[in-house]
Amino acid sequence: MDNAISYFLARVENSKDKNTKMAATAGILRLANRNLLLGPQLMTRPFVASGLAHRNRLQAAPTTQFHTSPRSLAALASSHWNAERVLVLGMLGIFPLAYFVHNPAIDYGVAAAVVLHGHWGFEQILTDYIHGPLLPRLSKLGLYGASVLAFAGLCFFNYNMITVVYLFISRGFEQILTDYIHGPLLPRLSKLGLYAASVLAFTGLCFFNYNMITAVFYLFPGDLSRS
Amino acid sequence: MALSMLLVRNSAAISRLGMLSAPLRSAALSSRLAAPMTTTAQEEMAKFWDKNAQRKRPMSPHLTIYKPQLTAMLSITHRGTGAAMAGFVYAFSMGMLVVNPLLDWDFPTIISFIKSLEIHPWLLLGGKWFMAWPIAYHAMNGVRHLSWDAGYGFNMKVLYRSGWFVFLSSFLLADLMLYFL
Repeated sequence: MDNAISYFLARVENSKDKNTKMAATAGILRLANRNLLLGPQLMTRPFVASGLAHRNRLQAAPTTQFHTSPRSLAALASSHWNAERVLVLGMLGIFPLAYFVHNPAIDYGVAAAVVLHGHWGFEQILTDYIHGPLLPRLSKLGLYGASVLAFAGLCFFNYNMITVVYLFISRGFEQILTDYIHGPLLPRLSKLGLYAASVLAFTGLCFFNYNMITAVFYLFPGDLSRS
Repeated sequence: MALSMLLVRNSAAISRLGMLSAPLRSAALSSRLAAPMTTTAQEEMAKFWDKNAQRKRPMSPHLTIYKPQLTAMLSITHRGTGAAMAGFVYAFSMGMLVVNPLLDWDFPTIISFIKSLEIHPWLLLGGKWFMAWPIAYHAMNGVRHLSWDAGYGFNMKVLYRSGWFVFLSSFLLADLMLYFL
C-alpha cells in the first residue's frame, strides 16, 4: 500500500496537466478511503457485532454502514412521513373549500386538520431542540394534552354527537401512545394523562353554542370593520 | 508527511469520494460491502447527546458564525410562522374552553369587545395583515417543500429562484387575501 501511495503521490507532484493531477489524487483518495477512513470505524461496537471485523484478508472492507430497526418501527416512521404529506395535500384542498362551503363536516375537517398538522409540526420542533433523558418525554406528553384540548376547544357539539366523537378521539390517541411510548412505567403514566385530557375534552365539548370554525373564518373578512 | 498533509487538507473531499469509490450503489448494499449496525438510529442519536452532555462539552458556535442565507432564513421563517399560527390556534381554542363556562363568553362577545375598543381602521387592517401574511407565506413555502418531497427543485438556481418567488409573492398573496377575503 505504501508503494501505491508514493507512486500516486509522485504522479501528483510531477504531473504537468490538471487531468493527470486529478486522476492521481483520486487514486490516492481511493486508497485512503479504503484503508484509513475505515480504521476508526472498525473499533465501534456495532461494526464488531456485525461479524465483518473478522473477515479474511481477501474479503473487501465494508464501505457503507446502515441502520436497521425492527420492521414495525421502521415502517411506522416512514408511514408517518407519508401521512404528514397526505394531510398537507388535503389541507391545500379543504381550506379554500371551507371558505365557500359552510358545512359542519368541512368545519370539523378543518379543525382536525389544523390541530393534527400543528401537533405534528410541534412534535418535530420538540424533537429538534429538546434533548436529554426526561425532558423530551415530558414535553411530548404536554403536547399531546394540549392537542387534545385544542381539538376539543375547536369543536362544537350537541349532547348526542359528543359521545361519538369522544370515543373516536380517545381511541385514536390511545393507539398513538401504544405505538410510540414503551417501557415499564411511561406508558401507564401517559395513558393516565390521556384519560385526564379526554375527560377535560369531553367536558369542553359540552359547553359550546357557536360553531367555532366558521367563526374563525370570519376573523379574516371585514367582519371587524363591517358593523 | 506529504501524504498526511494532503489527506488532512482534503478530508471533506475524501469523505465525499468515499461514496463514489464504492462500486455501484446496489453492490454496496450487498452483504459483502455493507454492514448493518445493531443499534437503531434513535439509540445512536441518544448516545451522541448523552456522551457530550456527560463530558460537559460546550456546543460549537452555529448561529453566531454561519452566514445567513436565503435557504436557511426561509426555512426558519417557515417553522416560525407555523409554530406561531399553531400556537395561536391552540391558545385560542384552549382559552375558549376556559372562558366559555367561566365567563359565558362566546365568539360574538369577543368580536363585539374588539369593536368596542374602537381601534383605528388602518391599525385594524395592519393587524389583519399580520395574521394573513404567515398563512400566505407558510402555505406557499409548504408547496415548495412538497415539490422537494416529489424530488423537484434542488438545483441551486431553481432553489434560490423559487425561494425568492415564494418570499415575495407571499406579500402579494397576503394583500390579496386582505382585499378579497
